Amino acid sequence: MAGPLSGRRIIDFTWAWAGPYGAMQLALLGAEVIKIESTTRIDHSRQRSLAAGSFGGGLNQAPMFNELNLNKRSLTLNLKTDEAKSIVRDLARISDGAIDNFRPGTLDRLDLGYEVLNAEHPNFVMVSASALGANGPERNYVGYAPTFAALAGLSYLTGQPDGPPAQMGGSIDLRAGTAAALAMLAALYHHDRSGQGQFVDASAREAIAMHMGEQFLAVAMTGEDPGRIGNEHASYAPHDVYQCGSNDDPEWVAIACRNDREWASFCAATGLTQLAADDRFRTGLRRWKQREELNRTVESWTRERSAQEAAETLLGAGVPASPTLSGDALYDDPHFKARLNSVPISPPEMADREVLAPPWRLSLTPAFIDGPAPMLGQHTREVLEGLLGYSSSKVDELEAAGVLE
Amino acid sequence: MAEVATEARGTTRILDGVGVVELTDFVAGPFAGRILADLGADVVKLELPRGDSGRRSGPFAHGRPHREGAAVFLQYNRNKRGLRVDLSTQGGRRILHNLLDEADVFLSDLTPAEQEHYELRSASVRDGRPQLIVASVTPYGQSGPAADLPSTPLTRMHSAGTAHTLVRGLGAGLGRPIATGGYVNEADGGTACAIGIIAALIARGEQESGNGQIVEVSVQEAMSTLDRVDLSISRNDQALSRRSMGSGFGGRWECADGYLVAAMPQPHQWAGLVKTMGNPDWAYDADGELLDRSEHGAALNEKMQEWSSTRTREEIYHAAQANSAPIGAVFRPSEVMTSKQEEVRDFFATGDHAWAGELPYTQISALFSGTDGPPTGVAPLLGEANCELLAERLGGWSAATARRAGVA
Repeated sequence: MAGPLSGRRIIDFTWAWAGPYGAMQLALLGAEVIKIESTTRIDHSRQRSLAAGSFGGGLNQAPMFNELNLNKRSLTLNLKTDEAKSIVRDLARISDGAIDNFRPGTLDRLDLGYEVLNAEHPNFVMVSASALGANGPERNYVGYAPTFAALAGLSYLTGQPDGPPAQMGGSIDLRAGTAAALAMLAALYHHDRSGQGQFVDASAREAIAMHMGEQFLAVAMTGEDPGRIGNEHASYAPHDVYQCGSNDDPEWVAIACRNDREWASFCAATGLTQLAADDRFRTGLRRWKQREELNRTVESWTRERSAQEAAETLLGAGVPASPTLSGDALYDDPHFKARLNSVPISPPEMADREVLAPPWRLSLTPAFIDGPAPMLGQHTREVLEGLLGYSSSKVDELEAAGVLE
Repeated sequence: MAEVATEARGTTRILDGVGVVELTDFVAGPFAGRILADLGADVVKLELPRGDSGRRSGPFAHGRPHREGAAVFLQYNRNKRGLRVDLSTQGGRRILHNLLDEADVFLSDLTPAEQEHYELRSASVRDGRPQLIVASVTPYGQSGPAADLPSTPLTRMHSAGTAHTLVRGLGAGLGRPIATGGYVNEADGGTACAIGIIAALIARGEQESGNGQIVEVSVQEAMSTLDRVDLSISRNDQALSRRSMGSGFGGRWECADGYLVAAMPQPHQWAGLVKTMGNPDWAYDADGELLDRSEHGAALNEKMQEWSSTRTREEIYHAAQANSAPIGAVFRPSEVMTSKQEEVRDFFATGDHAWAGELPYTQISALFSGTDGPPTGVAPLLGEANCELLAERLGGWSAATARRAGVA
């Protein structure tokens, strides 16, 4: 298959979650992504998840790693050896770019920083994605998803009004990775048009913050920090998530009424006609002011039915609503299925799995998933002999010398 | 070490000369256009006579509702030129088509029913314009049973698995699901769409024919894909998915003036935190070895809570980071704006808007060594560029014709 980046080769120095997902998007778009790994400094997503702890399987059986490294090839190198550095330089000569998410300066200390790779391959493109960027007083600080969300101000804004700020997880990393992929695409396009390469310094904290810019404008306009509002809206009601079914096995449905028309439809569809006639709920502002009471009434209706039934009733009447879908429910959702969002893959050492399709549909050069994440070092020999033209006896020597660990 | 000096970048922008016609509303589509505009594209934003709904979403500059003072509109439409046009008139549609004749990208957020209504189906828009990239970012994509269903940012987020995944971070078990703050998940749709568009620009440059293509993004899918690890585990690994967040050491602690968070997968990070706390006895076993933070997570979290409760966020954040412990302070947005780190990186740039005045706008989250950063423009006033665009792109339109098309 030919994706928009087919024919490009990217060296992937990333590990953990954010960086690998950044590089994976390039692979989904057709680039040949070669992940540099090490058997002594193993990507921790091959072993454990920050959320669920150690999953207890082998290095080639980690669901986390698989989801973040689809379509890639794995080359194991001990970057402390001169021979391994030389291999990376050889690889740079035949690659279009590189991406890393080390602490700034790490690759330079390994003598594999931008200047070195750019000397091997003039006009090289490199995206270095760190926690807080490669300059400034906090350039050496480190973090993971919860750290980035907290430092960006997003945790502070997320949570119930009377509860603590949210400790946020995986999607934060993947958002940072998405911003890194965006930066790489922009730099590759510039290279295509101008012939010029460049070094791009990306910050994970800023990647989160750039998706909430209006919150900073709000601070400047009002002189105050916005608060946490849970599932509420600043002026709409009902606008929340409501429990369906029993306390033992609750389901949830999100409902939003934005105007009088949707409110009238809501009252008619639910049969709560007494609400439509109630003067206390006659205008949007009144509904919003009385939302606690309103929400209790709405929930008394949702508790009598399943989340699916509640959502279907309301959507049928033109009122925005959705069940809160968990992973399994999402995969089984008719819309998700109709759009072929589940892609079956067969990792060599794991049971067959269903992973999510790429998030872009391009009519001429589609993104695609053509394989699971690589096993550790799966493509080492293939890359050295096939791509770099090393003889098999040379690779044997490198192996014996511990360079390929 | 390679470092990007913010004052000494290149003299060009990456998307210089790329023409974008944007017909989108609120956050997702406008953010895609904003990213392209920040990278240098000439983005002409079309607004229907009533204006983008972001213009009616508070808060507002100067403390009162005004269509030129809305935070959402100002943020997501920076660096664009604005054209007010009535697409319910033949003349209005002709203006759109005239603009598309010269454009590289048409970015819209029309659902399938809306595309039919405006006679703007993606495939037919490309008829006679083989170079054009036709991109859409809509709540549920251009196909499937939900494509035209009513939705809002809240219901989309709950439909994407995002809210269900996020509740695990609240540390209270699987209780009432929670929405992400702000419009972050809507903006995710915009970022995904911008990536799709730049990928299509790259592909167009690769071909001799120079053909554009159709790029389609669903906001729901853009959200889901960011939770792809949790969603896939929930689908494929039942045993693993039942474990909740917070096992082992790490999570959220309250300190004297707010909260801290951390995940700490590496042994040296835990050692760094213990050092920061002054090597307390409780962190070690009888043999003087550091306690295993997975096995003793709950007890260690309690001790950490005790230690942090008398200290401030800033104090712990900087001291722990100096020892390579990935602690994050839960900063307020106002604290992000005044942080020295972001000041040095010029992450907030002042834009001076005729109505809203000077405000701090977030930049793209990366510094490019060879090309210029975003322009320092602002969002257009409603219809601000009408005269300019009529003269520049629509020569031959009389004032009367333009009035009938709702552009003058």
